[in-house]
Amino acid sequence: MAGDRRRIQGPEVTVAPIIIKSSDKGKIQLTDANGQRRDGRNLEDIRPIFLKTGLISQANGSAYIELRRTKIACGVYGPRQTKIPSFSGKGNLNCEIKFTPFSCLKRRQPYRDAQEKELSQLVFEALAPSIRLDLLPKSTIDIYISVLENDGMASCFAAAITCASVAVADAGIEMLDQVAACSASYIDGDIYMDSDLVEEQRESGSLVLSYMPSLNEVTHILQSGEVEVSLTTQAIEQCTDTCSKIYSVMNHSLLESVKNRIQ
Amino acid sequence: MSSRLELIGPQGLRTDGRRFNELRNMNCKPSVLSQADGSAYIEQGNTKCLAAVYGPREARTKAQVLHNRANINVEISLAPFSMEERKKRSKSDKRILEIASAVKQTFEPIIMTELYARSQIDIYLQILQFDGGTVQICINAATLAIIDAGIPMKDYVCACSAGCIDDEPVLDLNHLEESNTPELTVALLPKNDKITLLQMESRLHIDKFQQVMEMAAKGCKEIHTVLDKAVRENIKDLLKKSSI
Amino acid sequence: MPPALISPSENDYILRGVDSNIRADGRGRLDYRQIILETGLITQASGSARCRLGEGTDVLVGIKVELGAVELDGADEDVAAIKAKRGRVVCNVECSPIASQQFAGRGADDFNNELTQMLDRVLNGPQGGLNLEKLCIIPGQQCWIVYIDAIVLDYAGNILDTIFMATRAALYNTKIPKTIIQDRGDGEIEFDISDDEEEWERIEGWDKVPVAITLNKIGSRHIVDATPLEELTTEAKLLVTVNKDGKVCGLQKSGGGSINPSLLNDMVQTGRSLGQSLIQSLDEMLQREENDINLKRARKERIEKLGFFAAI
Repeated sequence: MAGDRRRIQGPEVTVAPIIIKSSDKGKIQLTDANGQRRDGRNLEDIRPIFLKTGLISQANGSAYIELRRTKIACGVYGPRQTKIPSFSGKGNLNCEIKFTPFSCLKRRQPYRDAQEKELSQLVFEALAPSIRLDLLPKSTIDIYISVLENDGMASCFAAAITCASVAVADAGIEMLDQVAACSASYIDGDIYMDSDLVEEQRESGSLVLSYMPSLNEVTHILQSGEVEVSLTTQAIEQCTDTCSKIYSVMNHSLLESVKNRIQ
Repeated sequence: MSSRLELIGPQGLRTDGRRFNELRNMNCKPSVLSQADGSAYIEQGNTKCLAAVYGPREARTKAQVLHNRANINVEISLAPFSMEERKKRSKSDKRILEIASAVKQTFEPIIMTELYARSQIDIYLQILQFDGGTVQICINAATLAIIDAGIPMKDYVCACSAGCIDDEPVLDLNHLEESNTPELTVALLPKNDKITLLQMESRLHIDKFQQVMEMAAKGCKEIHTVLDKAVRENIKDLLKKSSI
Repeated sequence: MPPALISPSENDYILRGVDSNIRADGRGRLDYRQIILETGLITQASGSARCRLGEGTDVLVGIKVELGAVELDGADEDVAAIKAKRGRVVCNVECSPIASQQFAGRGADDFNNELTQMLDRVLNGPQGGLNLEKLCIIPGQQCWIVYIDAIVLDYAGNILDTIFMATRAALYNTKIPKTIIQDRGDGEIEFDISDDEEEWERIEGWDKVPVAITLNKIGSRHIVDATPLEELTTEAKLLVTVNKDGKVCGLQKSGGGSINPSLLNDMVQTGRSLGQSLIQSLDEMLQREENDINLKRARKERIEKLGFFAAI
C-alpha cells in the first residue's frame, strides 16, 4: 500500500498496455476455390477419429478420443453401491464433464461453472436411454469426462458423448445400443459437419445430434441459432448418416480392445 | 444531516404526499397461489410481497424435528429487479437471513405449534418490489398466508414502522425516509396490545422513543383492520362459491 | 427434477388418454390452457410482465436496463470487433420456493441453472431477435446491458413456455432511456441520459423474440402444455423455439427417453406451426392491453394494474 517501504513501488499512474494487433491476415477463408475446407475436408466430412479404450487402468471402463485437435478422456466407475440410503428401483447415472483449465483459448476456472453443470446434464440425457439402468437397482454409474483440448464447443460435446458411450461399453455395463454423436454448423446457408473453433466463430447456428443407429432413435438433439426448418431437416439427416459411420469406428475400437484382452 | 433532503415539505406533506400519521396505501389479497397451502399478496405503497405457507407437513430432515412442537422455517428471497439497481442476492445474504430469523422468532410464540408435534411449517416470502419496510411487510404477509392456510394462531400479528423526522414522529417509512431517519419497527398483537417484535438499528433520542412507539402501535392497529377486512371478504367469497 | 411419484395406473390412464386425443382436463393434444398476460407491474423495473397459464404456472419477468462495459474478447479480431459494437443480454431464472416445496433451500439450484442456460442459449445472440447493435452507446466502451430476471411463482407444469411468453411481453414493455452523445473532440466521448420518460423508446426487436413450445412425448404421440402429472409420464421432451418468421431458433431435447427421427421431424413441424399461432395470439393480447391503456388515458381514468388481484 502507500506506506509499504519494503517494496519498490511502481508509478502511481498506470496505463493499459497497448496490444499490437497481429498483422492483418485478412478475413480467414473457410473454404477454398474447390469448396474444400482449410484442412482439406469436404463440407460433409468429419475429422478423422482416433478412439481407444483402456486408457485408465483404475477405472472399470475408460476411453480416449481424438478428433484432430479435440482430445477427450473418459472414465467410468460402476456399477457401485449408491451412497444415498433411499431405495431406487433403477440405477443412478451420474455424469460429470470438466474442461481442464488449459483446454480452451481462455483459461477456465478449476471449479465447475454453470456451463459445465448444464453440459453434464445434457450428456446424461444423451446416454440415459441407451443404458439398461433397470437392471441395476440400488447402484450408481459414475461417468467422468475430462476435456483436454477443446477445438469447437459443439464438436467437443458430441465427441464427449461418443467417448462416454464407448467407455460405458468398455466397463461391461449392459446397454441397448451405442450412442454416436456428431455436430454440424450452419454457415451462410451451408451445413458444415464437425466444425472446428475457427468455423464455429462464424456460424449462425449449430446442431448436435446423438443417435442410436441400430435402434434408429435419436437420444438427444440440441440446436441453437435461427435456421430454416428445411435446413434443419437436412442437417438431421446428414447427422444421422454420419453417426452411423462413427458407430462403425466405435465398434472397431471395442473389438480391438476385446482382442487385446484375450491375448 | 447536512444533506437537505426535504422529507417533510412546507405544507407538512412528505415526499409521497402523505401526512405524518398516514399509512401508505395498502392492498392485500389472500389465496393467490394454487400449489401452496396458504398464500397472500400484500402491497404497501410501492413495496410488494408474496407469501406462501406450506404445512404442517412431515419434517424433511430428522435434525429439525422437535418432539413436542412444530418446527417453523422461514425463507425470504428478494427479486433481482426489486431495487433501483439490479442485484442478484444469494439466499444466504446476511441481511436477508437476519430478517428471516426475526420473522421466525416473531411467529414462534404465536402459532399454536404444540398442536403439531414433529411436523414442519414452512413460510416462504418473495419480495417483488422494494420501497422500504421489509420486516413489516414480511410479517403482515406471513400473517395473512398463515390464516389462509388454516394454521391456528393466537392472534393476528401486525407490524408497522415509525420514525422521527425533524423531531416529529412519522408513520410507515418508505425507502428514502428509512435511509435518512431512525426507524423503529413494531409488531403487535391487536387484541391485547402485546408487542412481539421491536427492532431499531439507528439512534433515537430516549425522549422521542415513547411517542414513536405509540405511533407505530397505532399504525399496527390500522393495519389490523385492513388485514381483517381482507380475510373476512375472502371467506365470504369462498362461502358464496361453495353454496352454489 | 420433481421427485414426485406417479402410480402405474395413473400413468396408464394418461397414456391411453393421450392416445385417444383426450387429456385429463378435457383438452386435446395440442391445446394450450388459458393464457393471462399483463405487463407493467413492477414500476421500478424498466419493463415487466406476468404470464399465467390457466390456474397453474405463474411466471413474473422483470427487465432492468443498466449501463455497462462492452464485452471485449473474442477468438479472433473480426468477432471481437462485432462484439464491441453490441449491447448484451444477461438472463437469470429463479424458481421461488413459493412455487413448490422442492424449490426450498438449495433444491432449485440445478433446475435454475438448467432453465437459465436454456433461456440464455436462445436470447443471447442474433437469433434472440433483439437489435443488440442499437443497445451500444459508445462502440468499444459503453453499452446497455439488458438484465432479464424471471421468477417462477407457481408451478403447475410447462414452465419454459411460460417464461418465454412472459419474457417476450416484458420486452414489449421495456423502454430504453435515450442517450445524448457528446464528442469532446480529443477522442473522449461523453454521453448523457435524458430524464424525460416520454422520450424513451421501446426496445427494438422485441417482436422478433422467439417463443418456446415444449412437446412432450407420451407413448407414441406428443402433447403440448403438460400438467405436472403428464410431465411425470413423459419419456422425452423436445423444446422448439420459433420466431415470428417461422424460423426455428433452437431445439433441445431433455428427459431420459429417445425419439425416432421421423417423429422428431413431425414434432419440429408441429412446434413450428403452433409457435407461429401462439405468437399471433400473444401479440393480439398485448395490443389489446395497450389499446385499453390508451383509451383509459384519453378518458383520464386511473390505470389499474390488476397484478395479483386478478380474480382466479
